[in-house]
Amino acid sequence: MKTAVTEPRWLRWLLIALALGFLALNLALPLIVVFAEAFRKGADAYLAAIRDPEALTALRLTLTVAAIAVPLNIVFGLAASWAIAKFDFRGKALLVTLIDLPFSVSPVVAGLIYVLLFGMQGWFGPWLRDHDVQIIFAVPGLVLATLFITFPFVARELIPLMEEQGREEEEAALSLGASGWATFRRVTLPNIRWGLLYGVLLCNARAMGEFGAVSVVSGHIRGKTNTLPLHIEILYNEYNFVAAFAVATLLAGLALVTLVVKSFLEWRYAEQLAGHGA
Amino acid sequence: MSLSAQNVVKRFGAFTALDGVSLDVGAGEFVALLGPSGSGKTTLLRILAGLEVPESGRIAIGDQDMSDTPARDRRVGFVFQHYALFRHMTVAENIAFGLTVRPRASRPSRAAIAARVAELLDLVQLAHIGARYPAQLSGGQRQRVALARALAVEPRILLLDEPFGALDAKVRKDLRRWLRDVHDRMGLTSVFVTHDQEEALDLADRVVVMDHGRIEQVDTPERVWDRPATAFVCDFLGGGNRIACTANAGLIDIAGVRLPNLAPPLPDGPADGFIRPHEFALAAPGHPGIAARLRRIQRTGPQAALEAVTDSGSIIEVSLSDPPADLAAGAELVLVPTAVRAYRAR
Amino acid sequence: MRTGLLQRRASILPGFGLTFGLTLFMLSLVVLVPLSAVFLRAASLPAGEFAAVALSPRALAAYRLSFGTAALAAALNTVFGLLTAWVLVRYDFPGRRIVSALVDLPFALPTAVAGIALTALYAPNGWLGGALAAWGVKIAFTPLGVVVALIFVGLPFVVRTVEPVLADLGPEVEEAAASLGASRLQAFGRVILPAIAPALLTGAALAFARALGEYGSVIFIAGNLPMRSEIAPLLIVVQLEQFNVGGATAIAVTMLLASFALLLLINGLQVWQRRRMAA
Repeated sequence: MKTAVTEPRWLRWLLIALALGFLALNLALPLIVVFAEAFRKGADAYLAAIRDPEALTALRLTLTVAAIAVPLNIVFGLAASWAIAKFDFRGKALLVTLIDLPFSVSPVVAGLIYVLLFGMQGWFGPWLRDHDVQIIFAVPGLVLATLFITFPFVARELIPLMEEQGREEEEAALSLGASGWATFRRVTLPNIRWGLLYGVLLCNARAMGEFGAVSVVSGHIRGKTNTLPLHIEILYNEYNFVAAFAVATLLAGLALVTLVVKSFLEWRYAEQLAGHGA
Repeated sequence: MSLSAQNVVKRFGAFTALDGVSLDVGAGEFVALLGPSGSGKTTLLRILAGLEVPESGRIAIGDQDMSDTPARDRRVGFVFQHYALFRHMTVAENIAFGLTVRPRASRPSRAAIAARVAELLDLVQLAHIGARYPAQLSGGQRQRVALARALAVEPRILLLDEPFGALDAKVRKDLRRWLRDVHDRMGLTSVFVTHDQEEALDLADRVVVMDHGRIEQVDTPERVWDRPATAFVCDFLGGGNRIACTANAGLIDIAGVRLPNLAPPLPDGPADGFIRPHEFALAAPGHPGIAARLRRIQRTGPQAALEAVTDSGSIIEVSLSDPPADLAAGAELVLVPTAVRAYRAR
Repeated sequence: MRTGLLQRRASILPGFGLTFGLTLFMLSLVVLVPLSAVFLRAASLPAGEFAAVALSPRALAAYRLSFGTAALAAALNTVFGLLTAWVLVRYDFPGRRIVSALVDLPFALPTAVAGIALTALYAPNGWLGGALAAWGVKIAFTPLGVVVALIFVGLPFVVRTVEPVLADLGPEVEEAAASLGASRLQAFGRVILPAIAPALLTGAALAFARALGEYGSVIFIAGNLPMRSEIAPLLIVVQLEQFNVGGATAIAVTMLLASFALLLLINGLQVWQRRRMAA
C-alpha cells in the first residue's frame, strides 16, 4: 500500500513482529509439534504406526464417510444456492439462517441429537433394533453427524457467488433456446466451478477431521467405527504418543494441502470466488 | 414478423411497472422504447422476450399468441444491456451457443455451426477475435458479439436493451449506424430500449415514449419531435423553456404574442408553453414579447447561446444565429417566441 | 402464469420447485427434525430432573468455565485478530501470502490434532510447558489450557471478518482524516475503529460461539477435572457415557439456547454492518 499516511517505520515493524509472533506461537508451533513428535522415535516407528491395520481401517472409514457426506453436501449446496440466489421468495432470510444453524451448534450436541433419534433409548431405537438396522455406533450415524457438521459449507460459498453473478447469463441462455438443464450445466456450473471447488475443499477438510460429533455417535468400536481423529484419541489416551502424532500427520498433511489449494484458488481465481473479487 | 402487446400489466410488489400497455410493431420496423428510468421500457422489452411474466395481457408474434410460450421457444433475439456474455466461453463459443443447445434432431452439424459462426463473425467485423474471451474485449466488441450471438439462432424479432448504454460517445455513433444497417440488410423486426432521445430520434422508424408504466406517444421521430402529444413528451425530448401562457380560441397568448399551438388542442385558460431555445427572435423595445435582461452570451462561430432573466426572475435560454455584434451582458431584450407547444397548466 | 405460493416474484428461470423442495427436505432431515428432537425430549423430562442435572453445581461450574474461557479467548482473539488483519491488509512484508494462508489453519486442521499438539506444547514436560513451569505458570490441565485451545480454534474468525472491511475502507478515509489535521491515533480511534466495529464484533461473536461449543481441541489439554476444568460439552459426553440421556439432553438444551441467542446477536450485527457498508 503506497501512501504517505502511515505509521512510522519502527511502529510498522513492531506491529508486524507482534502479529507474526502471535501467529507463530499459536499456529505454526502446534503444526511443527505434530511432525516433530511423530518422528521423535525415527522414521521406522512412524511408518509402523501408519501401517498399523487399525490405522488403515480408520483411514478407510474416514474416506468412506467423506465420500458419502461430501457429495450429498454438493447436491444440497447446488440446490440451495440455485433456489436462494436465483429466485425471490418470502422467508429467504430465515432459510439462510437455518442453513447456517449447524455452525453455531456444538459438535457434541450435533452427535447427541442423532443418539436421541436413533440410539437405544431414542425414538426410533427399539424399531431399528427390531428391524436389525444400526445407525448409531455404525457408519450411517457417522455420515449423519458429519453431514450435520458440514451442512452449510458448500451452500455458504455458492449463495453469495451466485447472487453476485445475477440471472442475466441464464436468461440469455434461455432466450437462445437452451433448456433449463442445459442452462445450468453449460452456463451456471462453469461460472461457479471454482467457488464450488473452494466450498468442497473446506467441506472435505471438516468432514475428514470432525471429532466431537463423530465421537458421540461412534461408540469407539476399534477397527470398526473409529475414524482417524477418533483413532488418534485412543492412541493418545493409551500414551502411545508417537503413533498418535504419526496418524495426526496424515490429517495435518490434509490440512496443509487444503490450505495450499485454497490459497491458490484465492490467488488465481479471486474474481470467481464469492467475496474475494475486486 | 410483426409483434404486439395487448393490455400488459406488470407489478413488482407495490410498484406498477406497466399499467395496461398496448403496442403494435409492424414487420420490418425499427422501434425505439424511450423514457426515463423507471418508466417501464425495459420491463416491456423483457415481457416481449418472455424473460418476465406479466400479471395480465397478451403477447403475439406474427399471428401467433405467445403469452404462455417460454422464452426459449419464442425465437426472439435478446441483447442484454450489459451483454450477459458467457464469460467462460470464447467469442466463437458464445455465438455458437444457441445452435449447440438445440435438441440433437434439429441441431446443425459441427461444420454447419462453424460456418454460421464464421459468417456472423464476419457480419459483426470480428473475424480475427473468435478465440478470445469476453473479458479480453472492448465494450464495443462485446456489444457486437452479443448481437451476433442473438442473431445466430435466426430470430424473427430482435430486442435490444440499452444497446449503446455502456459505450463511449464515439463508439456509440458508429455502432448505431452499423446496427441500423444490419437491421435493414437482414430484414429484422427490432425493438430497442433507450433513455437517450437523440439516439431514439436518430435511429428508429417509430418512437414509443413511455412514462410511469404508460405509453405517452407512439409516432415517427419527426412527429414526436415537432408535435409532442403531452407535456411530458415535450419536456423529455428537450422542450426548452417552460413559460406560463394563456390558451384562447385555439391560439396561445404569450406576453402579448399570439401563436398557433403545435401541441394537441386544449381548452381556453391558463397553459404551460414550451419554447425551444432556437424558437425566439429579438425585437425592438416596446414591441410585444418577453422583456428580459441578458445575463450571459456565449458565441460559437455564427451561433450564440444566450441566458436571459425575466422581470419575475426566471431564466430563459435562447439560441440565435448571427446575433448583433454589439450584444453584451446587461442589455435589455425583448424576446419574441416564434413557435410554441402548450399544454394544460399543471 | 406460474406464481407459486412461496414465490414473491414470478421468474422465468426453471427449477425453483425442485431445488427449493430438495433444500427444505435435506434441511429438515439433517438439521431441523433432529434438533427439535432434543427440545421435545427435554420437554418430556420432569422439571425436577431437568434442573437436577442442568442446574447442578457441577453443570453450573462447567457453564461458568465454558462461558468464561470462551469470552477470554474471544477477547484476546479480537485484539490479536485485529492486529493480524491490519498487518495483512496494510503492510507488505516477506512471506505475507504464506502467513495469510496459515491464518486459516484452524479451519483446516482437525481439532483432535490441534488438541494433542497444544497439549504436547504446554504439558509440564512439553516444549513450552517446561520453561513456563520454571516460572511457576501452569497452562495444560488448567482453565488456562482451555483458553489456549479456544484461541486456536477462534483465531481465523476475527481476522477473516475484519480483513475485507479493512481492505474496503482503503487509505482514502485516513488520508482525509490526516488532511483535516487528525493524528494517526485519532484517525484510528475516530475513523477506522468505528467503521470496522460491526465487523470486529461479528468476528468476536463468531469466535465466541465456536469456542463455546468446542470439544476436540479442549479435552486433551483441559485435564477435565469436574468443577475445575470440565467444559459443558464434555459434561454432555460424561452424562451419555453414564447412560444418562436425559441429563445429557438437559445440558444440551441449555447450550443450544445459548447458541441460538448468539446466532440472533450475530445476525443483528451483520444487519448493522450491511447498513454501515451501504451508507
